[in-house]
Formats: sequence, structure tokens, C-alpha cells
Amino acid sequence: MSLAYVHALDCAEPHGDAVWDISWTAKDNAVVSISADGIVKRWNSASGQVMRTAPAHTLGLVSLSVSPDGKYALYNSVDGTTFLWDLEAGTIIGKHESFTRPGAEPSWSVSLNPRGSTFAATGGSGNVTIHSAEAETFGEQRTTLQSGRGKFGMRCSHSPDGSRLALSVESGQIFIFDLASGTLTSTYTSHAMAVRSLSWSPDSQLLLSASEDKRLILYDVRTTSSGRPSSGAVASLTGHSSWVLSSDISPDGRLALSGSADKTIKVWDLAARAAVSTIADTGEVWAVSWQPSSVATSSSAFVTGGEDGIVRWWKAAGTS
Amino acid sequence: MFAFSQTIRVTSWPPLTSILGTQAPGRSIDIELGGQEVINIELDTLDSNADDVLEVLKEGQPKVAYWTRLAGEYMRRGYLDAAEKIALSAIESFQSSGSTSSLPSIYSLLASIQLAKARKAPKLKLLNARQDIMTAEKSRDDYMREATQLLNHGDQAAAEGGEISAATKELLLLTRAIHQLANRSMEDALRSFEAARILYTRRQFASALKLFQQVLQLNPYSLPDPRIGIGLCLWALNHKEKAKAAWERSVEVNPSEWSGQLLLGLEALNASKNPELSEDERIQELMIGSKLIERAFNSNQRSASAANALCDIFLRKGQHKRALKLAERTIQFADTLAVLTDGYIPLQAKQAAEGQSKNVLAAIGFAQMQLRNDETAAAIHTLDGLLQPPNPQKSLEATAMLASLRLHPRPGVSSSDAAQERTKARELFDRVYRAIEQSEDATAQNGSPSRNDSSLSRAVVDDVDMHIEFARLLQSENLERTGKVFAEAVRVGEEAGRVDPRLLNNLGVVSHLESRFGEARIMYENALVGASALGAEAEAMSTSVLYNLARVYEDLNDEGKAMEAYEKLLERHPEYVDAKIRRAHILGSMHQGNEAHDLLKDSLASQSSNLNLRAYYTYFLIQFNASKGAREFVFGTLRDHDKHDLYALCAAGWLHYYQARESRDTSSKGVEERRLLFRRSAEFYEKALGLDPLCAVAAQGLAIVTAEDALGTLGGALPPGPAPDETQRRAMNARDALEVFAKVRESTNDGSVHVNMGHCFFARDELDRAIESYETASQRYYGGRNVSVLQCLARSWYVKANKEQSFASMTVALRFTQKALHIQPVDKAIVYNIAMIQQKSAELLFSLPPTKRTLAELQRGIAHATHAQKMFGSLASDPASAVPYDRDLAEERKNTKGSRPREWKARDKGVLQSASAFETLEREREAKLRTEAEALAAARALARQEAQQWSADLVKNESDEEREQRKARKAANRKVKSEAPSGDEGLSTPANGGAGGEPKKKRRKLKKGGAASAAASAQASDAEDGALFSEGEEEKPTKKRGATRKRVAREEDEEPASAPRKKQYISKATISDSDEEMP
Repeated sequence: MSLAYVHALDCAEPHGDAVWDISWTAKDNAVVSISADGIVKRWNSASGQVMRTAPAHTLGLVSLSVSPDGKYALYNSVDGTTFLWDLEAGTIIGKHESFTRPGAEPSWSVSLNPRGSTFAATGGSGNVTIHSAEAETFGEQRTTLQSGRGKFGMRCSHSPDGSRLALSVESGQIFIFDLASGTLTSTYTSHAMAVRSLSWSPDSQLLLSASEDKRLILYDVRTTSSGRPSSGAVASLTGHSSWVLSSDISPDGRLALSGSADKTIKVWDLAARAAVSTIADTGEVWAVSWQPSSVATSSSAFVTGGEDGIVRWWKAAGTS
Repeated sequence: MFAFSQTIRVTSWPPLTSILGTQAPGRSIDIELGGQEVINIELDTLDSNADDVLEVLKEGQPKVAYWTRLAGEYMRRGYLDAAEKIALSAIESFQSSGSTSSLPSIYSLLASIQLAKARKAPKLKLLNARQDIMTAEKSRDDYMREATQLLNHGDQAAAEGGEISAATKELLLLTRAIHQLANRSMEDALRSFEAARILYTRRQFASALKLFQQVLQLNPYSLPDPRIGIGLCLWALNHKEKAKAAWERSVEVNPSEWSGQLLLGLEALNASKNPELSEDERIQELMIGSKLIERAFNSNQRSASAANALCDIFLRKGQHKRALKLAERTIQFADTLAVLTDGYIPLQAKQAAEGQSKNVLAAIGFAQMQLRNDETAAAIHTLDGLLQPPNPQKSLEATAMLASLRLHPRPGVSSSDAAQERTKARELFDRVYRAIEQSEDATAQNGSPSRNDSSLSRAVVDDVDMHIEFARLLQSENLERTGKVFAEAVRVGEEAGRVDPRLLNNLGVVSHLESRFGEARIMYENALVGASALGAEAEAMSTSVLYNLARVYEDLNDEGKAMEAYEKLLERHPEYVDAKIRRAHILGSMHQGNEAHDLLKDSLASQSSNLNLRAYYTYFLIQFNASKGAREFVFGTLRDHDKHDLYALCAAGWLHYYQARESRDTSSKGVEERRLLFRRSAEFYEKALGLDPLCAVAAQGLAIVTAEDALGTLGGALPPGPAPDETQRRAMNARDALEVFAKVRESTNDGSVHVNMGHCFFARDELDRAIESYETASQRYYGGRNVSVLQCLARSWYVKANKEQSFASMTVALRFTQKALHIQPVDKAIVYNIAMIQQKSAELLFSLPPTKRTLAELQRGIAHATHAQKMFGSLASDPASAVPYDRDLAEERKNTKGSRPREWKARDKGVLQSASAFETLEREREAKLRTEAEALAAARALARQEAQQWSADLVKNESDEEREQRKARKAANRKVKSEAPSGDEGLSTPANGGAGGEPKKKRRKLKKGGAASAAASAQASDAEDGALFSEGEEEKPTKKRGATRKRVAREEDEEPASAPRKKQYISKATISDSDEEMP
């Protein structure tokens, strides 16, 4: 099988530096992108125009997490300053400087809990810290989830149902925590190099990891009624010729997207475990995101951001 | 002389009739017809027309003996066609009558006839003979083949026929023997017949003589005449007179036999050349000889020897045309090498005489003869003569042949001569290719094969072997052309419908080496398919191809497929160490060091003396920071295996260097030790260079040693000797090293050399060029993901920004640093650098004249400064036990109370030492600035006094005013300290006194106000912005205080985050098989 995706749109005003993360939100069909130039932008997917920009941070932004309703965006900078941006009002309602001592290590990757009220962060400590996401107490640390390894946390990501959290570290291990009990439920060691991206399937049953070892690995992360983890790694997707930097599973759970330092975007059929489309880009593809299901019913469009700072929209050939 | 001595070895073979030549006493034969009539056939009066006899035979249906007898008789008389006719009729007749037992003898008879014909047929047909056109004739080989077939038929018939008489069997055997003889299967024939002849051919003259004499005794009228043989033997035994007598007798007995005449003629000719004889006698001899030879030639026009001898005579007489014809005839009929050679010689000689001194055909033929005689040197000489001036010939065939010969190793040729030969061969091949290309161009232009083309032999163009030979010659020097030549060979192969997989493989290797991986992959895959089609014997071939394919997968970044291929290889050949090494390499690159290590140890256990393996293991140990283990291992290699191993030498050089550089021992003993290590490092590199002057790695290593002045004082890190001109020396060292790097760059395909060049440019303060070099390394080799190169880029931009007071450059520096952190977020030294640059860029911005900055920039600068402070706070209080930066410095910076010149944090603690290399330069500058500053100290004090007083005067003025003034003073101070030229400005202020200072201040104030108002007007509506602006104004003084101190010296002593320059030891493993692959 092979699918064709065509380039639909370029953003009107590119970022001044690489786009490091991106998310197609559920509200207003808007896209949020963050960049190494320290700026976060909200885009109109129809025109490619900027709808709103938050005040620039002095340093680059590395991690982005948008609430499922598309109303709030949580993002974090290289130095560990975390912001909560109200996308509707356009105001920063929370700012947390995670590097302030005494405290935890500076945050690198952040993830907003889909159930609201908290966010998770990981970084130098290799653990996950849970913080308040309420405007008044924003950033106050609630709990810590210990991975037991002192490796740098590259990425953390809540499952869409909000019950679990996945953490990946620089040495390639992946940890899954149960948030209710605060316990570590599974550890996967399929990668030996840093995992820069994690993405959950919409039903929270599959997890896809993208690693510097050029592979993507798909895990079955369902838990049995007794709470035991199931089989683990079920597929390895190979084909990229350099680091895989970003990934996303489509809203219908059939397809996966990946962006790589080999300057290509690939679309994978998860059932067939094979690439069904490869698109060449101009530089490293740091970020990919599917159009969410509330806006579109099928996996027909996605958005990417990369080294050249341009946000690009793509759609399946034949769709309008 | 040569003509005789060589010709004498060759005589005509006895006509085959000798075996059939039964001694019929009456010389007549009776054939019964129908039981009553008897027909008597007189054997001596047979004529060439056999029809009558045939009729009689058919009618009479006599026994087989009659048939053969008659046919034999015809044959004996030379009526070969008639004999053949009879024999064929006999076969027909016996086959129809069913008496198969008679057939064998007839078959053998027929075979004899064919052999007799073969004897008269040309052996070789010159396709382009100019005078003696023979193409209509069947060649000797054809007759031989027919004869063989007939004999086999005979055998078959004999086997089928069952009972056959012993005589028939014998007959068969004899015929076969002759056949074998004609075919030169000496050993077989020796057992059967004509032992004497064979003995003669085998140069056992005495025994041959005896046998010939026996024959003569038994049959004085035997034909051929044994006397000829006797004569030959006698001649060979140096009884020349007796030999002559024997031949004379033979001619007497058989006046029609040509061999005797020929021999006598030759003898006479030889005699004519005898200088002892008088002139008359010699002429006489010559006359006799000519006459005899002419006669011999006339009686047997197809005798190569006779033709040869006659040719010689004609040559002497100057009848070139006839000589040419005869020479050509000789060549066509000659059945021994010597005669053939002789044939070519007169051909050449004749042409020399004609003035057309260089005949291609003759020369090539001659050279070929010489080759067959194993006289390679002579052949080369012949061809050389042909192709060289004067009057060089354009013969592709000859050129290609000569090139090939020159390339061919000969015994007793020194290596330098061989190299020279290679060069010459190359030139020759070049010429061939030029000719081919030209003709192709011509073809392309004319649209049809040009006239020129016809002169171009397709045989040469399509000679795959020649292409391969040339490609092999080129492969060490010019890859691109090698590829072209291989491609040509493949094309030829394709045209022929079959391409050698090895050829495809080689073409793949060329593409591979030229980094055209896609093409290489296709070639390898095709080769693999081709090799597997060849079956089991191509196993070795397909193994190598598969290995190459795996390598190209690696280069295409497809480790998965490469891994599969290696595993497949290892399945087939569990001890294929190269595949194991590559597997380990892939594992290692995927951070699976332990697995890789196991594999390598495993390989080492089985092949501990494999130098490739040892080189890779050394590399592996260094990569995984086991430099101590690596050192031991590499010394083991040098000590126990090969003390001239380049890889080990380079590795040893690097390890010594590394150890010395990393050593922290500052005691005098430690310093001495470090010196020693540096020296030894240089020695190792030098040794490697001595072994291979083109070894890029060693050259680069040595250049690094030079650049960092490790043999001197290591840029002051080692207690110096007298080194007043340290700065100058550094610049010079860097220049020297750059020269080397520039050369190394040409030959290595690695980013490290660009990085090193960047370091050198940096040391020479050529920042733009440094940036360019780093960029090349980062983009082309490391995909922008090499953290240390990104850091180097950031550092260069940082220094450039400070030098040029450019905020934009500082922003670029910050960008690169952030990129580095994004790649390697765990590295806190980068975080420190980010904070530093942020702080720096704020300072820089504030120090700029207001015209050179925008409000937005200023705001951003302020934000940077604030943020940097916070980050330094975080860094200073990092709870980790060890941090890759100086906590105190961070603390200091957090408070922005001031700083020391050394602010930049090297990415790696390990490189601090070499950082000091750059410090000297810094110190130098610092010192200079300090003296200047001191010189101005008094003036400055004055200025301060002045200002203080002035401020006292204005103490009642509005606080706003005061703030302005203070600011101005600080600005002045800062300028004095930071830049020598601006010191004048500072100086002038106090000199002008209070009144002089005032306008200055005012100007400043005005400008600031201007900037502010401009900004304010631009954004008048935005109240928030206005507020921000004023806030900025207020904060500025404090910032500047920090800046004032810091600017005393420029921060650029930071060490190149010079990641230990990477060395690649893997190159040797790269397609190492390709050489062996060459077919």
C-alpha cells in the first residue's frame, strides 16, 4: 500500500529559527508551534497566518503540550522556564522557573495532564515531577515519580486517558508510570540511544517511540486486569537513515507519522508495520502532528515543523 | 645463417602411404568380376582419374583389401581426391552389404587421406594477406578434425563389428599414431610408430640415426627416403659432409623428392655465406643453392621451409614482392614456431628494405612469436620500435599489446623499473583510450561510422581484458577514470551478453569509493545476482560482493540491512572477521558497547594477529575511553606483530599526545614526563610518515602537535624557556599547521580536518575563516549534530561579536549554543555558556552607542541579563557533586559584581589543558592593555576627581540630572579601560576641565533622549512599552558597573571545545576486499 500526501500550505511568517515542536489543536483548527527563537505562535490552518503570538522568551522553546480541548498550551524553554498560555485570551497565565534552587533539576520536557490541573515535567534528574497547572499555584511541585535511573529525561507524555505517563531517557529506556498509584509499571529497553519523541494512540493502548537509533518502536502497553503489563514491543519501524526526532499516531490509530534528521517525513501503516509514504523536507524535521479527530474524521492531514523554521501543512492526495 | 639452422629442424612428414604401402612385388592387382572375369590393374600406370577403377571395384565387390590397396596406391601417387573417392565408395558399398567388419580399415584409410590433405593445407590463414590469398582453402585444423572424426568412426565400427583381424587393428593403431604425430601428441605416438622420427624431433639424434639406418636396410626404396632423416641426424651430429652425402644420394634415388633438394640447397646457401671461401666459390654456392631450393619449391609449392628459404634468396636479390609473397606463405604453412618466426622476420626485413620501415602486421606477429618463445623483453623492443619515432605507427592493437606487456611482471626487473614500466603502460593505455574516444566523437559527429572508425579495431575496443588491465592500473591513482574504464568493460560485457559479476563488483567499488552509494548498491546487487547464478564455485565471489553490499548499506545509513547482511555472511563463514568487525562497529555506534566488545574479543581470540582487527580494536578502545587499555594493546601490536603497522603507529602517536595533554601533574618531574610524551608522540607520527609519506592521519597528528606547540612550551602551560615572542610563534605554528591541514583536507573525507583548520584560524584570529571551516565540518560531515563543533561555532561567533561589538553576532553565538544544548541537553556546561552569552550580549548592547541599537534589542538585552543572572544562580547552587563548570565563577556572575578574564567554560573539563594554549595570546593582550591602562591611571584619577567635584557642584541639581552624569562618567571609564583608542577620549575629558566634560555629557544625554523619544514616538500609544523603557534606563547603571570591569580584557581565552580530534581507524576495513576481487 502506498499513500500520497501533498504539500498544502506554508506558514506566512516563518519562525526566526528551527521549529522544535508543534501541535494541531482541537480548537478552531489552529496549530501551535514553538521555536528555537523563543517564540510560540498560533496559526490559522486555512490561511497559514499567525493568529496570536505570546511574548518571546529569551531562549529557545523545546517542549509543547496542548490541552485536549485546544484551549491551553504548556511549553518549556531550554533553560527550564515553563509557561501556560491561554490560547483563547492570549495571555500567559502561568510561568514557572524550574531551575530556581532549591528545587528539582531544570525541566526539559513537559506534558499537560489531559484531565487538567497538573502537568508533568522531566529533565536532568531523570525523574518525573508533577506540578500544579492551576493559574494561582502554577508550577508548585506536587509529587515525584522515580525512574530509578539517573539518566536525563528526554521526553514525558501523558496517555490520552490521563491515567498513565510515559518517560523516555537519553540512554533509550522507556518507563511507564501509573498516575493514580504513582508507581512505575513497565520499563522497556528496546533502544540503546536517546528517545526524543513518544506518542500514544488515542485509545491509550499503544505507545510509539522515536529514537536516535533511527528506529521507531511500537509497544503494546495495555495492562491486564491484574495490573500486569502486556507484551511490550510489538513492532520496529525502520527506514529512516538518521535520528528519528518526532512522531505522532493518527486519531484513528491506523497510521503513524515520523520526522527525522534525514530530512524526511514518513507515514507508517501500523497494522502492516511499513512506511506507506515518504516526503522529503528541506532540513531536520523536529516536529510532526496529525489533525485531531474532532476536526477531521480520517487521517487526512498533518502539520510539520523543522530546521528552516517554516510550518508546513500536508494533506492526503484527493482530499480538499 | 639462421635460415638453415632453423629450417633443418623441419622436414616434411613422410607421406602417410608408408603405412599402407604394401610391397606388392608385381606392382599389379587382379580383381575378380562376377567370379569369371579377372581384371588386372597395373599399379604403376594409374592416372589421376579413378573412375574406371571405381567402376570395376563396385562391380566386383572384392574384399576390403582390394579397395584399400587401390586407394592406397592412388594416395601414394598423390591422387588424393581419387583415393578419397574410392574410400568413400568403399564405405558406401560395405555399409550396404552389411559387412561392417571391413569398415575400420577404410575409416583409417580415409583418416590417412585427410591427414595427407592436412599436410598440404595452410596452417594459419592470414586474414589480411596481401599477396597470398588462401581464404578459399580449408585450414589444416579442419582436415585434422575430419581425420579425428574418421578415426573415431573406425573405432566405433571396429567395436560394433566384433571380430576383426589383428592386422586391421594394427592398422587402426598405426593410423592413429600418425594422426597423433601430426597432432604432436608425442608421448602417445612414441609407443606406436616411426620411433626414429620421433626421436629426431626429440633431438635424440644418435638413436634416431640408428633407427633410420635400420629402416633403410629393411627397405632401400622406402618412401619417404630414410636418407633424408639420416642426413638430418648426421647434420645435427655435426657430420656435415656425411649429411651432404646422404642427401645427395637421396636426390639421386628420388629425383622428384623436394626435401633432399631443399636441404642441399640450404647447405649450399649456408656454404655461400662462409667467409673462408673465395668470392667466386661463394657465388657458385649461392647459385647452386638457389637453383636447388627453387626446384624444391616448385616440386612442393606448399612447403613452408622451402618458401622460407626461397624468400631469403629473393630478399637478397632484392625481389621484394616475391619475397613478401613467400614470407606470407611461410607464415601460413609453417607448423613449427621457429619457421613461423622466420617467416615474420623476412617480412619485416623486406619492409625495412622497401622503406616502409614499420609494418604493423609483421611487427605484431614477430612480437607474438617472441612472446611464445618467452622473450618478453624482445617483444617489447619490437613493439617499441614500431610505435616510436621516427615514423611511429598508429596501431591500437600494438599499443594495447605493448602496454599490456609492459605491465606484465617479468623476472629480474627492479621495483623502480617496474614502476617506470607502469607509467609507460599508463601512457600507452591513455593513447588507446584517446583514440577510442576520438573515434567515438567522430562517429557522434558524423552520425555514421566515419572512415576513421574503420581503422579502429573493434577487437581492441571490445577487449574486456584490456579494459580491466587498464582499470587495475588506474585504480590506485584515479578513481574517476577507473570507473569509466570499468564501465566501458561492463558495456562490452553487456554487448556480449554476459557480464562478469566481478566486473560489476569492481564498478560498484569505484562508485562506492566516490561516495555514489546508490549506484554502488545497484552494482553490488547485480553482481550478487550474477554470482549466485554461477553456482557454487562463485561462493567466494558472492561472499565478497555481499560484504561490499553490506558496507554500502552502512554508508546509506541503513544499519538494519547491513546488519542482516553481516549476519548472513557470518552464518556462511563464522570466522569472517571483517564482517564481525563491522557488526561490532554498528553495535558500538548504537551504544551497545558491551555486545560490540564481546564480538571483538571473540574475533581477537581466533585471529589475534590480524592487523585490521587489531587496528579496529584500538579504535574501539579509544572511542570508549579506555585509553589505558588502548595504549597497552597498541604497544602489543607494535611489539609482537608489526612494528611498521601504520595504524598502530598513528594510534600510538595519538595516545601519547592525549596522555600528555590530559596530564595534570605540574611538578617538575611531571612536566618533564609530559615533554617526553609529546616528543614520543611526534616521533610516532614521524615514523608513520616515513613509512607512508601520504598518511593523512599522521600528518594531521603532527600538525596538531605543531599547532598547539606541544614540543615548545605548550602555549605556556609548560614552564617556558626563553620565549619572548610567544604570540608570534603561535601564529606561525598555526600557519604551519594550516598548510598541513590544507593538504590533509584533500585526501581525507572527514570532518575533523575542517575542525582543526577552524581551530588554527581561530588561533590566528581569523574568525570568519574559522567559522567557515567549522560550518563546513558541521554541515557536511556531522549533519549539524556534533555538539563540540556547534560549540566551536558558538565560540567563534562569540569572540567575533566581542571584537566587532556586534549584537547580531552575539545572537548567532547564542543560537549555536542552544542548538548544542538541544542536541545534548544533559550537558550543563552548555547551560553555563548560554547564561554567559546572554549576560555578555546584554553588556554588549548597553555598551553600544545608542544609535547602533534598537529599543527592541535593548529590551531583549535586559531580559537576557535578568535571565542570565537567574541561571547563574541556579548553576551556582547546583546540588550535584561535580559540575562541568566553576561554581564560584557562576556565583560571581550571578552577582555580576565582576569577573575574571576567563569566563567561557570549556565544554569539556578534559580540554582545559589545551585551553591554556590559547591563554598565552590572551595574557599577552591583557598585559598590553594593562600597561596602557596604567599609563592612563593618573589621567583617570584626575578625571574622577574632576567629575566628583563637578558632581558636588551640581549636588543640588535634580536627581535626574545626577543619574545621567554618573552614567556618563562610567561610560567614560569603561572606554578608557576597554579600548586603547578611546582612551584618548577619556583623557581629553579631564584635560578640558569641567567645562570640557560638560558638552560631552550633554551630547550623550541628548542622544539618549533622542533615542528614547524616537522610540517613544514610534510607540507612543503603547504605555507599557514606555514604562519598560524607563525601567531600562534605571537599571542600566548597575549593569554597566559589571561591564566596566569585565571589559578590561576580552573573553576569548576559552578553549576550543576541541573535542579530541577524532581519528578514524576504520578506513582500512573499507572495502578491503576490492583488491582481491580484481579478476
